[in-house]
Amino acid sequence: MAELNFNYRSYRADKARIGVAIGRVWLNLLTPAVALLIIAGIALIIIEMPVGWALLGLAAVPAMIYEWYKGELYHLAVTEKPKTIDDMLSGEILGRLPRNPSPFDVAMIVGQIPGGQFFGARFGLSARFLQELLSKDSADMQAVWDKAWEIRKQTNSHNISAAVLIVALIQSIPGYESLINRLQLDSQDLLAGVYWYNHLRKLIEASRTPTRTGGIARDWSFGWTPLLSRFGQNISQQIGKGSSVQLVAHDESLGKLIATFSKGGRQNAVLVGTPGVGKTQIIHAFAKKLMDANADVPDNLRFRQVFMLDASALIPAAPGRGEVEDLLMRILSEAFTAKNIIICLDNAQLFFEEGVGSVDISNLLLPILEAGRLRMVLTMDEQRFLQISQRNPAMSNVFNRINIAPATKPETIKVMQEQSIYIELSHQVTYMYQALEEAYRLSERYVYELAMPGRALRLLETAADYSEDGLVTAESVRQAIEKTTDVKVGVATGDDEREKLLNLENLIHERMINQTRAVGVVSDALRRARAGVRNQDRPIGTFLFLGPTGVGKTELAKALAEIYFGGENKIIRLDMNEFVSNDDVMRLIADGADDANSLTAQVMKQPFSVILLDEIEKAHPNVLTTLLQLLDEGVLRDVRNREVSFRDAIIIGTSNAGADRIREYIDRGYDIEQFEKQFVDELIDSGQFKSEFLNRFDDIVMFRPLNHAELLQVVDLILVGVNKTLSLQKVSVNVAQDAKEYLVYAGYDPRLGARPMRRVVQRAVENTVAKQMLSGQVDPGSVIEISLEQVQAIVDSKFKADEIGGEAVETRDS
Amino acid sequence: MNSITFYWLLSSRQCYKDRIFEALSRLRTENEFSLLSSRQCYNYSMFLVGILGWWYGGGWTSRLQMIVNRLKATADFFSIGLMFKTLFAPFRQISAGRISGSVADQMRAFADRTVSRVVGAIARTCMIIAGVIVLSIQSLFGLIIMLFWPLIPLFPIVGLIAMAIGWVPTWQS
Repeated sequence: MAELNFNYRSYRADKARIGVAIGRVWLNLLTPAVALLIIAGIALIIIEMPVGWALLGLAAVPAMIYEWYKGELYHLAVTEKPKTIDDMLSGEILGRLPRNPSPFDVAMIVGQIPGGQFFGARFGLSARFLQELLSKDSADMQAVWDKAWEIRKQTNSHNISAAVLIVALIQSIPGYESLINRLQLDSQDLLAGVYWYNHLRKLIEASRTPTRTGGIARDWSFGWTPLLSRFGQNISQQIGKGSSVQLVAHDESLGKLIATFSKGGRQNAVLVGTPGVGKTQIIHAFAKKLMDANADVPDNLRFRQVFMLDASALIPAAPGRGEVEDLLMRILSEAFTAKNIIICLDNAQLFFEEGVGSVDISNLLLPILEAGRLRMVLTMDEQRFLQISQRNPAMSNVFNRINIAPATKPETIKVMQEQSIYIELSHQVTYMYQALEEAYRLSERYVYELAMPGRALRLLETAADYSEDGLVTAESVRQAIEKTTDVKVGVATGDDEREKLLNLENLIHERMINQTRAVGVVSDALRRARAGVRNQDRPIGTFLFLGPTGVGKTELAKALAEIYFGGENKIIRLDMNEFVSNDDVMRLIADGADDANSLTAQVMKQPFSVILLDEIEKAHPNVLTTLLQLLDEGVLRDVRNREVSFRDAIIIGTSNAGADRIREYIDRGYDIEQFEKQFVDELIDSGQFKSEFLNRFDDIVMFRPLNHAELLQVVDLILVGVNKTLSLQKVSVNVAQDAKEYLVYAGYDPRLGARPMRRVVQRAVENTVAKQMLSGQVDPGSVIEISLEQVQAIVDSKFKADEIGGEAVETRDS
Repeated sequence: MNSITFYWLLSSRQCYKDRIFEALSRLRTENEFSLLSSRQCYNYSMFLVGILGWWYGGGWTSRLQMIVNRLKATADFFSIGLMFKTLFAPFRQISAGRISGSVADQMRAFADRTVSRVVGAIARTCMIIAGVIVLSIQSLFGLIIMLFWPLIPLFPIVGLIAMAIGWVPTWQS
């Protein structure tokens, strides 16, 4: 273990200071000085003045300084056997350090150079911010040096760079974990930042090293390929023109691909994996490796060129019957004769099935693949590969299959770090590390069509449009999801939203009466979700509402959708009496392309919603079994085996089962709490629900029938709605108390609850108002008073009409 | 002790650097410089030690490495290695395929293939010659650079001596 003291007067430290001084002041003057001295010297010699020799000679001084700076000082090499901390410190830091630096001084220095600025921009840990927290006592520096030394070893860093040092500075702050937790970071994230920085430095260095690709006469031993060049893309050539390919994940798959082509046997490989998994990227990395003279590849593969064939380019060029086959045959013959071509069929399923933009040429390809002499790489979606294999079993036997698994989280983060550079260039933004982490987390849940890392990259790219001042933060990623899927993914932070959540019960009660317990449990569930304390692997809440018709079960779901989810259209409502057969299970999980109204398709479109499963007791037992996983884990697999998330939805099942028993208990004077458990047991015993189904709900809530006083409040609520409609006409209505009582009497039906009340009120009040307005008795701004007589006149005439029409009104009379 | 002494010391061997550094540190502490402050003297001395130490050590070898890399890049540009490996391969695979048929057809194919190989060999030889010429010129320049490299620090002194002598080329006939 080295002694980790700092030697200000070490030889390396002196050099570093010279390097910094030259870089700061003199560097830009050196080249012009050399040019000026040479020109002046020559000019003076020409006019026969000997002083020109001196100037020519002196030109060597700035030239030497320039060479020295570029050759040694710019990137000061570390000492081979380090003894002190200055032996390992990066030159740009070492050259700026004072004799007795304190953590405060070091933070200031680190903030001036790229590694520190990298952490400031990518992690929100700027040097200025750290300076507020760091000590000005140079005695505290020893702990920082020790940590820096440790981090360098841990991250396998070449030297103690600014990135290493800033992490050491952060870790030297007492209780730093809570500090970085506020920025949604942990210690591992900081180390990942050092890896990221090192990786970018390596990329920059690699871009400066010229690649050797065989030279101008490389292909003289191979045939010409005019047809291929016309209909295919030469991937190898594209890479040679400067596009960068770094394969972060799937190194093993690339190795398998090279091994397949370097040994004997059938010279084909099919990369099978979900879209977005990185199959095409592997092909690009493969092409790049073959073109690199310094790469470790067998000689029989070196400088082989990969041509990608596109079905959409071939089909329009050969519209006649059999012409595609003919054209492809000629292309493949050309590739075979040329001897240096590897054909790549990207999305190869397009060559094995008939359809728009695809053509079935399996009969042509099969013998070629079986012969195995022409090198071919195919990429295919797993599902399609299975379908093609099922249709044509010989196909699957001729392929050398290489499965490409989705990238793991660390791999995906690395891919994002790599690819973010190119997105940053094209979108003129900067990604924070937290944005990458958030993109991974959210894409896992909300991006369905692609696998990792493709799904995270897609979200990351979308998030660029939501950057703030060019900085893509975790919030930008959340916004990208919220704007595109309408899901609220973050924790409630706005005052309006917090206010709404805290007063949710009151807001719901503005449009529904009583049912306090039901309103309470759904409000609590939402508050838990928006405070970020709920279980993220389940739906926001799952509730079963039991009770008679017309007591507010559906109304509560609607109220919730309107008040919190952004409108009544945020309800995904399934009438479960339409799912009474075993076959209806498929209708729940159908692909959106086949049935846009399937449950999974609707939730994919609108994951943040209230899912209302009305009259759930009527559904087929297999339908209920299908829903078990949904209620338990918040996911349901659709017919395409995609995992659809219900984790941002509130799931409400409603049922009238046992409504008569509830009424009976209430009539006998019981409170709901007193018979709730017994009632649920009765439902299980009667076979209406299975216990495992009921146990999946967070809460089973019973709705009791409304009493007279509550029905009066319902009338008031309906009248508020009527007045809202009339406000456009600048008039309002006021219904006398006895008239309201009569409306309750006329509108209440024990079987249908408060449901008929709305019709009765609308008929009585709106008809009266309409007549008065048409007769010109109402002026804008006036209040229309409605009396008992007016209500009776309208309601009774309707009853009479109903009686004449033979409609039964016995229920009302009873 | 002056800069010339340092230069002499440095030009001998790389391992002297540490000893020089120690000497400099001693000078700094003993405050031997009277005209300039010890710190300034130390800084100037360190500058000279640093630049000359690099110039005759790592700088020289890295320049050699740079020249070698350029030669390799040139060899790659002219595909010289590949040209040697495939000197007699049919040019662009013209007439390279196997023919099944009568003896006359086989003979004709053989003749065609031979022509293709000869054409290929000529083209490749031309390319190799062109490459070798460029490589030779580059090597010559590289050699000159390597030889001149240690002399460059002397240029200021040489220039001053030339100025002192006062000779300049004359352009009058």
